[in-house]
Amino acid sequence: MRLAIIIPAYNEENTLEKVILSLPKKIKGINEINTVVIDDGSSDRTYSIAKNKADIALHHLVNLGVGSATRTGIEVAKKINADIALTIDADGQHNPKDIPSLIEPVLKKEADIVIGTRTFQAKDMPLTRIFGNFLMNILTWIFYGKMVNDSQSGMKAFSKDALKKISLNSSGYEICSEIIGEAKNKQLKITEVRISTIYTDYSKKKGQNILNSINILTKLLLLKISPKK
Amino acid sequence: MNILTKFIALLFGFIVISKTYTDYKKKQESLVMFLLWTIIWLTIITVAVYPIIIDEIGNFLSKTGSNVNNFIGVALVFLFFITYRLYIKSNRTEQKINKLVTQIGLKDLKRW
Repeated sequence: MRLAIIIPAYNEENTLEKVILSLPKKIKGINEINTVVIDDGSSDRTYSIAKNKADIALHHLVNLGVGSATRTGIEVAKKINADIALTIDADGQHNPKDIPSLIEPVLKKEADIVIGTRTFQAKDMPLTRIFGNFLMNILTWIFYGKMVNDSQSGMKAFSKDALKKISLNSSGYEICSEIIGEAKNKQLKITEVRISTIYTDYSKKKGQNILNSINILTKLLLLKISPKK
Repeated sequence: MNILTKFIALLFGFIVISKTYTDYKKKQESLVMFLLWTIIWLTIITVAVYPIIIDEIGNFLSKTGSNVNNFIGVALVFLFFITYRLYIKSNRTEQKINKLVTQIGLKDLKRW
C-alpha cells in the first residue's frame, strides 16, 4: 500500500520544512509513504526546500493557484501508482498526527474521499472566518447538493478509485467544493473525520476569509456554466 | 447624483486612458488599440458630462422611426455579447496555461 502525501505550496519557506519533517514515517497498513510537494510558482525558497526535503518536488513556472497545484499533485499520485493520496496544507495548520485516522476509512474501504473536518472555535478564529467557512458549506450544498461540515478543508484523503474517477478544472480555492461535487457526481462515498487544527498567527493570515467566499462564489458560478473538458 | 455620475465617468476614463497610454509606451499595446480605447472613453466621458447628447440621439432616432429604448437594448445585447466572448477567451487561455504549466512541472517527475 503506497500513500502519497501531497503538499501544494506557494511562498511557504517559513513552514514547509517543518511540515515535511513532521509527517509520519510509518503508518499501520501503509508500506511506502511518498511526500509530494508542488511548488506553485513561489518567489521565495519554497522550491529549494521542497527539493531537499520531499521525495518528489515539482515546480509550476507561474503561480496558478492552490487548485492547480492540487491537480498536479493528484496527477503525480496517479503516475506513481499511489493507493491513497492525502492533501495537507503547507502553512502548518494541520496536525500530521491526524493522518492515520484520516486514511483509515479508505484503508478499510469504507470511503473514497475523507474530509478532515476542522473545529472552528470563536476563541481561536475571527467570527468573519467562521462565517466565511459556514457560507462556503452552504454554497457547496447549493451548487453541488452535498452538505458537509467543512467543505473548504485542505486535508483530504482519496482512494485510488477516487483519484481515477474525479475530473477537476478549478485553479483556486474553489477546488475544495468541486471535489465534493465530483464525488457526488461519480457516486463516490464521502466521509468526514474530525481533525485538530494548529492555529498560529501565520496560519490564520493564510486561511480563507469572507472576501474569499465572494471570490469562490464567482468562480463556482463560472465553473458551473463552463463546459466540462 | 448627476455630479456623481460625471465624477465616476471621469475617474474611470482617466484610469483607462492613462493605463492604455502606459501600455502603449511600454510597447505592450498597439497605437490602434490605444487610440480606440481613448476615443471610446472620451465618448463615454462626453456623454456623462453632457447627457443632453442622449436626448439629441433620442430625438434623431424618433425621427427615423426608432426610439432610444431600442438603441439602449441593442447596445446592452452587444455589451453582453462582448463580455461573453471575453469570458470564453480568457477561460480557454487560463485552461491552456494551466495545462502547459502542469505538463512542464510533471516533466521533472520522469527524473524521479
